[in-house]
Amino acid sequence: MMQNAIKKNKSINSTAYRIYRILEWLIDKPLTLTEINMRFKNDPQIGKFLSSDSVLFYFNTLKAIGCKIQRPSPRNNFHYRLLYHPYGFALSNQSINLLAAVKQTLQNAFCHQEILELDIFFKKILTTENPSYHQPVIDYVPHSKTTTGANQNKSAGHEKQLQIKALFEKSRSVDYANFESHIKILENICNINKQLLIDVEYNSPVKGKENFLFLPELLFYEEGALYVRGERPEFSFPSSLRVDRINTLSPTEDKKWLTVLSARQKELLVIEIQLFVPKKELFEGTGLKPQHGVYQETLHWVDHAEPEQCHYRVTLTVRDFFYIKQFLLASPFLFKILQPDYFLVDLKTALETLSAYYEKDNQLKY
Amino acid sequence: MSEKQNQKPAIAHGKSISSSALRIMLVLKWLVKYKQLDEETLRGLLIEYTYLNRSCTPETFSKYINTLTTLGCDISKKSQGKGKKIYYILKKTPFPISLSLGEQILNEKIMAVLSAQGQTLLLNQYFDFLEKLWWHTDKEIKPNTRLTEVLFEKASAKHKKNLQTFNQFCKDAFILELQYREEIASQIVQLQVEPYQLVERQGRFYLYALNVASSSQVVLLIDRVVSVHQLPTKNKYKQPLSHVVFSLYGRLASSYRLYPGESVVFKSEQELHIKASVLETDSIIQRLLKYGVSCQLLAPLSLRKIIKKKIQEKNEFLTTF
Repeated sequence: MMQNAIKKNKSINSTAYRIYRILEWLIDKPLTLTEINMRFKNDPQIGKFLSSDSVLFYFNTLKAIGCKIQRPSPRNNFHYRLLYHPYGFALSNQSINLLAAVKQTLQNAFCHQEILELDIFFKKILTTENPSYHQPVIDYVPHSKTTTGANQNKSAGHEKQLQIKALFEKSRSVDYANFESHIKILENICNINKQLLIDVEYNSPVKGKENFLFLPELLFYEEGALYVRGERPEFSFPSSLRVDRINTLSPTEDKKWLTVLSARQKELLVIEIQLFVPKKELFEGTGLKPQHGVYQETLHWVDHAEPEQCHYRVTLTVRDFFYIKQFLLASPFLFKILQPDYFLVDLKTALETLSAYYEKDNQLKY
Repeated sequence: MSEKQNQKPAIAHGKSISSSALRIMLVLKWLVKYKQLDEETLRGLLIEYTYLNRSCTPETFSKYINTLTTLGCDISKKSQGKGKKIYYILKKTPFPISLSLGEQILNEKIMAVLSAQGQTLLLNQYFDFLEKLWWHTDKEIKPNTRLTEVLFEKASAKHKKNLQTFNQFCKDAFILELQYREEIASQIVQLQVEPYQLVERQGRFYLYALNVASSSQVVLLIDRVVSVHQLPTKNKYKQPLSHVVFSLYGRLASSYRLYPGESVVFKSEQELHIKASVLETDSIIQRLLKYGVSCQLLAPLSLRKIIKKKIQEKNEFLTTF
């Protein structure tokens, strides 16, 4: 027989050898007792089937080391599933703070695909001691209903879930693990510029659940959340929907609205601003992109003998004013609006309303 | 104690286990944790372990190591020190995380962006983190490939000294006596400060500290520190944080996601009041102004005055011809 031909190493502890192998196999994937025994048979150092009692004995030893193993049951198709082992890359709270800081720093530099890749990578690192996190769930069982799951979960898997939650909270971002199918559909529409109208059920923060037609244009990641920008029949300016608030989405054949919204996408306006910057180097650009409704930006430096008159003439081709208004309100520089007049009026109204807020200091309760 | 006796099943939590296998797996666990341990310590740890209050002979211990190496664990042995202690070194994790090429490229991008943004502090910390992580992966080559090495060296060369020195000052928490060149008059002033935190913004390092003389927070640009030394007196106070309360209205109130350090202090259908604890106030003022009429800063009064002045200036300038 083949296994007899292989010389077994007698100066080793055979029980430890078998236990180590079980651990190695279970890290890879959940196994049934028969599958474990097949592997024992095929291993040159073991070369035989083992009794259920022996295997149970090995599992008890693994548990004594600190491994958490879900027992086989009809619910998991009689597989042993490793929930936790103590040989992984243990991360301290300080490491989680570091990962969160890195993620937060990259959020404005990475595109949404890169951010989603980063999320997957960081979660993988966080769960190296929890192979079950990456293994496909054979048959989903709520943790509270499993025989052993509840306690095991508290001590190992649950702790890791809390670390993952902390990573997202500290980096002030949303975990998009459960939105993969929505993202794929939207990417497919936006990336290849398919003019495809969709019917959306959206969980609006103000109106609650609502249904509307939507023509997606661009997926973008900002301030820890993934948005899809596009046109809605109800509004003349584009809307940005948070992907995690989309309950359902399905393509629709409405030709009339598709024509109207496609035409609306091309309605661009020009804004001209004077931005008073004492030194040319102090300003490089607004940092606004198509996701902010800004499709083109030109800067023209106008030098002057008096530093307070030095300015940039900023010309923007925009689809809407929302982000440019935010940029101007937060900017440390003073500005004038050259065109259009109604944008000037809009900003003036906003500044006057804000001024009024700060007139009533005596009524404050904090 | 012979190996045969050791193989008698032990009991853990009422269930029989293999005590020698447990010992071997524990040796591996400790080697994974510490990477390198001497035999004496390892055998001592085994004796102390709850279920295994028995001695472990050098021969038995050799068999344990032999079992692990047969299983593929990369363990080397070396003698070191005066007493020629035998050390066991685990060169690589036994259960490596598999890293794809995409994940390696992603890490290079992370380093490149941190470097390009001048985030030296974060870059250094992430680099250290990756070095530790690499031990747990299936990759032989560490992340300091040529590209990342160049980036790392380029980024760190400029600030390395300041970084290490001032980070250590913050950790030590002893009062610092320093000479500082003031920004406006370029005069050199003498200061005594309690150092708290080194912060990097747009490639420049700032020391957040408490001015001992005035008991007020100061933010010092590290480049402007002419000389510095520690005094033998510990910091008296904890890092001071500014507390800011602001209200949000309408849609923003309904959809607002809290930033770290923020909590909700009041909530109604129309309004949300948020309390934030911040290290410095410039960034939060800028952010709140961005929210426009959907936000009002409620406290402190001193910051309200600053915002009020900024708004008035913008408003007056906007309509001046």
